Amino acid sequence: MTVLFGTLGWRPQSLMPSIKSTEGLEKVVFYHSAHEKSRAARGKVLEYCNTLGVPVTPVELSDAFNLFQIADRIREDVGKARKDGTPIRFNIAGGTRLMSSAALLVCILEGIPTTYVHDETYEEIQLPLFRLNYADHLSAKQKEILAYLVAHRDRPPNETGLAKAMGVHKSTMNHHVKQLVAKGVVEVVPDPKDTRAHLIRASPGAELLVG
Amino acid sequence: MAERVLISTFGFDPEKVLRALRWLGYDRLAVIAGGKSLREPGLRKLEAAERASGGTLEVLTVDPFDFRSCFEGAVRAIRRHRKSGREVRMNVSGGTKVVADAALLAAFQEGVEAWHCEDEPLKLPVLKGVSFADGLTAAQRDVLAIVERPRAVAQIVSRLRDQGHAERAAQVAINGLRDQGLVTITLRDGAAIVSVDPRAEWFVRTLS
Repeated sequence: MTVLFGTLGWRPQSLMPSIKSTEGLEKVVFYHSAHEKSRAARGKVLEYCNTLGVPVTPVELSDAFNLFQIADRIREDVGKARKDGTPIRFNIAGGTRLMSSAALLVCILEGIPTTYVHDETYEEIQLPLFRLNYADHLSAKQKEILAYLVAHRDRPPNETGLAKAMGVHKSTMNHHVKQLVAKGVVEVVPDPKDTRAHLIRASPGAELLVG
Repeated sequence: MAERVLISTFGFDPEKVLRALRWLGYDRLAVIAGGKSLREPGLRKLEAAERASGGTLEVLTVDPFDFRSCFEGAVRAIRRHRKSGREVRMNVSGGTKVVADAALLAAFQEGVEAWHCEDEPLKLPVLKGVSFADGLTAAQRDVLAIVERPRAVAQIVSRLRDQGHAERAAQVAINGLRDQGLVTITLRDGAAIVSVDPRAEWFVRTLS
C-alpha cells in the first residue's frame, strides 16, 4: 500500500495522473492554497477520490508563499505517515512555485520518490532522487551540533559554550564548526555584545536538515 | 577570492533576478530561461543593467516546461563555471515552476548554494560541496560506469573484481542501485542483465 502526497494548484489534472498510476493506493494527502480556484480544484480531486473509495486528506495552507513553513508542515505529515512504514510517493507538480519547491525540498531531504506531471501532456515524470536521508551526509556529531544550534537559534552560543554544551573539547568543536561552515549549514557571526567575540548560528533552513 | 557567478532562473519578471542581485553578492550573472523569455523586455532590462555595471549577461536557453532539459541545462552551467574556478550560487525564484524546481534539484545534485529571493532572501538547506553521487558507494559508481550499455551480472561482477571489489560487494552494489531505481535487472536467455533504468537515464548521466 502507498500513501500519495501532492501539491495542488488550480488544475486537478496535475495531480490526477499520480492518483491513477499509484499501485495499492491507501490514501491521498494533498496541499492547496486558500485561493478560490484551488478550492475548486480540491473539490474535483475529492470527488474523484470518493468515487474510487480512497481516503483523502486535503490540507489548506494558510500561506502558500511561505516556503519554510510549508516544508515544515509537509515534513511533519510525511513523518507521521512514515511511522507505520507505509511507502510514500510525492507529486510536486501543482500549487504555487513555493509549494512545489517546499515539497521538492522535503523529498530531497527525506529521499521520497518524486514525480512531476508535464504541463501540457500530463505525462508523469519520475525524479529519481536517492532513497536516502540527505542529512545522512552529515556525521552523527555534526547533526547533534546542528540540532542544538537550531534549538538555540534565539540565543546562539560561542564556540566555547557550544563545546561545553556538547561535552567535547574546544579544539574538537572548532574542527566540527569548520566542517559545518564549509557545508554552508552553520554561520560564524560577530557577537553584537562583544566585537571581539563570535557566535555560532545555524543557517536559515537548517531545521529541515535535523528533522 | 574566487569570482562569484550567480545563476538565476528567469521567466518574464526581471524583478525576481534584480532582488537576488541586490541581496547576494556576485561578479557574473547567468540566467536559465525559455526561448520566449529571450524576446521579453525583462531580459533586455537585465542585459542593460549588466552592461551598465561593466558585465555581460550569459543566457542559457532551456525548454521551460521540460524538467530534464532544465535540469541538464542547470547542471551543465554549474559544472562549466566551477571548472573555470568560479564559486557558483543558484537563485531559483524566477521562471516557470519546472525551471525553478529543476534548478533547485541541480543545486542539491552539485552541492552549490541555493537561494529563493522573493519577499526576503531565503537560503535553502543545501550541503555545500556534497553531491548526490556522494551517496553512492565506490562499487555502485563503478557499476554505473560499466552499465552505460546493458551488461550481464556475471560480466559486471568480473569487471568489478578486476577493479578490486569483492564479489559480494559487487552484488550488493547492483541490488542497491536497483532499489534506488537507477538500474533494472531483466532475464535474457537465462542471464541476468543490468541496464540503466530508462526513467532514470537522464539523471544517471549527470552523476558521473
